[in-house]
Amino acid sequence: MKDLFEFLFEKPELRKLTKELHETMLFRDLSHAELDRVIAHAQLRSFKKGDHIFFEGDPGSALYVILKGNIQILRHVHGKHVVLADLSKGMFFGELALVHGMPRTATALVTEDALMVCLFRHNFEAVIKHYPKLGTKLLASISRILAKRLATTIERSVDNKR
Amino acid sequence: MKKSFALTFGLGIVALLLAGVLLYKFWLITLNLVGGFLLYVLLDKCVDKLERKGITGIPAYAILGLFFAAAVLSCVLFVVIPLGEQLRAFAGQLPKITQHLAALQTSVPFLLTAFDEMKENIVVSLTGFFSHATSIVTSAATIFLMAIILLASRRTLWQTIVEHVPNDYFEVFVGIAHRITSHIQNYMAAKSLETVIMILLHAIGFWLIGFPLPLLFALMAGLLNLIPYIGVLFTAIPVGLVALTTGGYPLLGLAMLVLLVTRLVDDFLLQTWLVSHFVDIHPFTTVVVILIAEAFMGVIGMVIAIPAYVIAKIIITGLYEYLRSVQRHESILQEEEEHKKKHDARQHQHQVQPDVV
Repeated sequence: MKDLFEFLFEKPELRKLTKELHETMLFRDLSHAELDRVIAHAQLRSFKKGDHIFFEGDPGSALYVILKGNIQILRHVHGKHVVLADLSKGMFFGELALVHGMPRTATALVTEDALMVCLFRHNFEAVIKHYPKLGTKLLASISRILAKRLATTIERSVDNKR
Repeated sequence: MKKSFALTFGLGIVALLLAGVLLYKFWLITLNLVGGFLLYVLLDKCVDKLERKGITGIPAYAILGLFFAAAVLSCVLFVVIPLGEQLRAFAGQLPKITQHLAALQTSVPFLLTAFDEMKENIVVSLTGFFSHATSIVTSAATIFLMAIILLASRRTLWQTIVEHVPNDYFEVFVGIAHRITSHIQNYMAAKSLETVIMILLHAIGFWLIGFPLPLLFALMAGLLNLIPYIGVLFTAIPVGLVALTTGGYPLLGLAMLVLLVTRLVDDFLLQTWLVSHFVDIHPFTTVVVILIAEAFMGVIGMVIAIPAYVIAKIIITGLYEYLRSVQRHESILQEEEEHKKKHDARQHQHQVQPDVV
């Protein structure tokens, strides 16, 4: 009976990945109940090596949390690409799509077969609207990580100028 | 704009049109599918609300089931049975109404003709309804079953559909699907609320002026209000005739006042604050769309015209956005490929030159 219920009503693949999700930077501070609520709004997606998840300039609408595999974030400049970051398990990207509706600022390329959790903007907005505490926690996590990334970018830019 | 893009977009539009023609050709199947989907969308919103309150899984579905059973029972007890009584009373009053009309015939001759036409129409509609009763019951059962199946497998079904969407289409597909379902959910919720408010307003108005069979006529007025523009006329004719024959000109005036007040409330409050919040279409476009839909599908077309137009618009703009993205991706990759080739050629030259020297 329980199996049938799970088959009909649950997202078994995502439920089995609760441990992995808890280890990611974004969901680290969430309780089990809170993570369950996020899972209800998220989707699991696998990508093959060489797949482009999105291109710079695309309308962005989802954030991706890496559960397996490697992703390269790059920009296309005059016909060649410049690698901005190499991301691996536990990291996330595409967060700007959740914060504003502007087009993607970079391209995401899969460099090793990957498994990711996608959280779309409309789902994220639903989480914030209906579970404000959980929404605040998620926004705080995103802000903290964005601040760290900004600090790293500033440091790099200063180093380049030297 | 590249020719290939225009061609692909044109082919996409043709494919969409063909799909539309196919759905129109098999309209009975389409109606069942759409009905089932619409009922599912409404129930899904209810389950979502329960889940937000912390009631998930079996308890949520049990509450929904109980609520649905209570709604059906209440509908039978408080609407169907009283309506049956009111219809019986109405049937009992028919000879009296006919007599009144015969008396009025000398002063207003067109009234009797109009009433005869109305009687004929009612008889034709009822005969049609009962001759199609089997298919109506089958359709209702199909719609209900489809909605339950969709609701029961809402998570896994969605996951299965999305899994089969190629990675390139993924974000666009989810975006379009969300825009369509949220639009339908909001539109249906707003329309349902508008209909309930209109039924209540008509019932209160008719009851206050002492109009006979207020519940029956309020229900009729509320449901006919779903037909844009001419729904109010469909209501005004029988209401006017009954008012004239049972209460004379004073009741006719009061009944028309009730219809006018409810019309104003609908136009300036409900339509403006409730429905137009979810449908952002130019009034001229609305008229054109409704007229075209009426030409193809009659009254049903008029009812579904606006949501169908908005869904078609979302799909077409989504297709356009997607094809533009594909075109941009191709040009980026092509540019990169050309750059790589040039780079490789330059490196090859560098390697070859020392030997030549």
